[in-house]
Amino acid sequence: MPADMYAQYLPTGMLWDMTDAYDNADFQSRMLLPGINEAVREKGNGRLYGFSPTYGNGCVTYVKKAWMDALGIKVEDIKTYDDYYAMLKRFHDEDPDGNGVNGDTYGVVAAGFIGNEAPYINYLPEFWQDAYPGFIQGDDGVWTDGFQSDASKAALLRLQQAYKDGVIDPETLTASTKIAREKWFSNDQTGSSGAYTYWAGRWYQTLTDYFVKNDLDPELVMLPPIEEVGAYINREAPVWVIIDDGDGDNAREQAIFDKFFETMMDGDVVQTLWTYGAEDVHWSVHAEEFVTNPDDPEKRKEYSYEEGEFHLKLSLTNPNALWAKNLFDPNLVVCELTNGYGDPSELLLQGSKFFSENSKDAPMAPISETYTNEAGTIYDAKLAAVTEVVINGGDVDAAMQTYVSTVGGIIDQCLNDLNAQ
Amino acid sequence: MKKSKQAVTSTGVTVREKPLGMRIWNCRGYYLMFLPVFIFVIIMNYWPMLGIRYAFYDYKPVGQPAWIGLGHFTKMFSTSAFWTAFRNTLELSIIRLLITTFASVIVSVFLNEMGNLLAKKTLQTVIYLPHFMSWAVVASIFSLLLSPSSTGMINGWLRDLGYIAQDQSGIYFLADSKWWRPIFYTINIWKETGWGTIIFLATLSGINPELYEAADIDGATRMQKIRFVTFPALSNTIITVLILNLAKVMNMFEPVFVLYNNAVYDVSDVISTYVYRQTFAIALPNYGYSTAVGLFRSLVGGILVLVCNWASKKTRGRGIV
Repeated sequence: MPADMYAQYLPTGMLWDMTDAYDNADFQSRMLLPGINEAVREKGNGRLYGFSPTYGNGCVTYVKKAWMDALGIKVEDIKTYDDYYAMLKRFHDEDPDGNGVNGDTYGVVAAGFIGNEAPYINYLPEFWQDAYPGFIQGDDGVWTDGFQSDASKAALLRLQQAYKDGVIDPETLTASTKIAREKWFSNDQTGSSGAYTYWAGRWYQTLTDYFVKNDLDPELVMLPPIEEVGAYINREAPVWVIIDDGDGDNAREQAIFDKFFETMMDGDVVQTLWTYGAEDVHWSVHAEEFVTNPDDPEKRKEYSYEEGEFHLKLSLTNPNALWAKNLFDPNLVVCELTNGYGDPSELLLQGSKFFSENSKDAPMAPISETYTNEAGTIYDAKLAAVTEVVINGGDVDAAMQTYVSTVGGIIDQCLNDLNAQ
Repeated sequence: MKKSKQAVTSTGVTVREKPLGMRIWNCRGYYLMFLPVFIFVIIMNYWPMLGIRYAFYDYKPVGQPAWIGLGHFTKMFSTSAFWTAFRNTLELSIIRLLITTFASVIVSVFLNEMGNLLAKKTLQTVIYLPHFMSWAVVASIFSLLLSPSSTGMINGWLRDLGYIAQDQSGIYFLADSKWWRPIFYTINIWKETGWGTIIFLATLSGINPELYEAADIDGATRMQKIRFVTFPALSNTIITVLILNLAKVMNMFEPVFVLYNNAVYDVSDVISTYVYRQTFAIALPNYGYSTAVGLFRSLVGGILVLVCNWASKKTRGRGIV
């Protein structure tokens, strides 16, 4: 479950305390990133009620190099919000896709103006900047509702202006991540966008593969965070939990931990299954040769592996691309594989390195039983305010007033819970 | 041995009714055939109704349910989103029913007037087809057509005709409260009118041709024949269709679910979609609350069925149940 969901489950008492199991686990000897689960432990007041096998990762802004080149834009010139906005505006007003038509493209597309899980703003960070539209704990330890802050209001006004100027694809309001992604690398670039903020690391390779598949220029630029953003957000790591059956006996829960979590991080067979998939189906160490795009001389690529050489096989869903991964991203896991199996994707390594050099940790998710029960209602009210300001061009103060009158009582109760802790 | 009942027929003959056990034994073959159906109905329809009790419990995905009495109903009746959903359910369902029924009547009358049989059958087939498309596909099609981006066909036409300036952004039909309902009704007319003509065409084919002949003799025009012969003949069927469908107004879900979004909750959210979000769109749902809302919806639906049954008895002489 995502970290904010974990925070909502914590006060329920349903989660098994796996502190001792974790501290005594065999995989501790292979632990690369102990800090990830220490942060999870801190959330549980020194006790561990969930296990994070990977770190959170986050999103970076990718820009089509071909579009930048077509308009003479250089990535090193994009330093501030004004620079970024000017670039997006040119993507919309001019003809970056070279089809002879101005105004049929957009600056950026995203899956919603505000997300429904923390950190909420990872798909449009340049517009949200220092705003955080969720419960946030200040340096003085006091929790406040970040959505009502001046920074959030300013962010909504930026989004409003961008929507009005055609800089943001209007379908952002209703697009899922799949729809936004497919619009971005569609082989018909009419209606597409120049920039897209999406997950770092593995997705750098995957997005590039889609561009190749759709006969588009595959060169993508990872935009360094603009001044106002400072760094991309590394979300809190998702967590695996075990439900406590409440019988007072830890035997069942310990058995689940041993059979599931220990083997998940065994550094060998089972961890490889979680990371890369099944042997000789998704990956292999046997000698073989294969070709991708055999009929296209420009895209044709030959692969040849020797006996004993670990390699990823052709994707089962796309015979012209290599299989990427199973569930775990090999660059995000907290325990290393000891069998030497590694994904040689250069773009993946570049993407992970870029993100780790340009990221900061997300604020901690709130732990409140009231918030657990009312999260859906609060999110609906936020969406209504965002829609009123961004889509309908409404007054931001009036929208906030409506938000407060709809869920103000619930917000106050959540803040009371949080500040009483 | 139980004494069997006696009954006197209309002709004065006294008939001794056989005991119940003997009657069941005599028809044992039929009861045996019915037994699997009976068990299926009990398991699939009646046994799940025991879950209604959770409307009075706090019931989270894990942990034991805890009794809270009328707590969910108190929360429900004090939540503005619930009342918006309730109002929308009635408005959308009833208006949709009236519009699609009216459209089906008009189309069936026009089809009935068509002389060319081939053209009539072809047109019938064509207008039936949208009914067989799933709502998910229909929503995808119309989302593309109505897209506010440069690829949206309708906005493209509006720009070409000069209704939208070239540098102005398109109308976001499906995310605009004043457009969403007209679009919703239009899509429903497109999808369901054809299928709805079946029952009206069946009625029209049963109209006595002598009525039209008599109207011809009286010098009635085509429109007069439609007005004074066709529509009166259809009136009973129209009322029957309306009454039968009125009982289902609380069940609206799929057409709304695939077309609505958070920008138009105020005009589109119905009880079923509200329950869906409360159950599946939050981290830790409370199934008790969802059950309470569903129970309220079922109660209102049940009342509507009884009202429809009464209306049916008044107009048709027999009920719908």
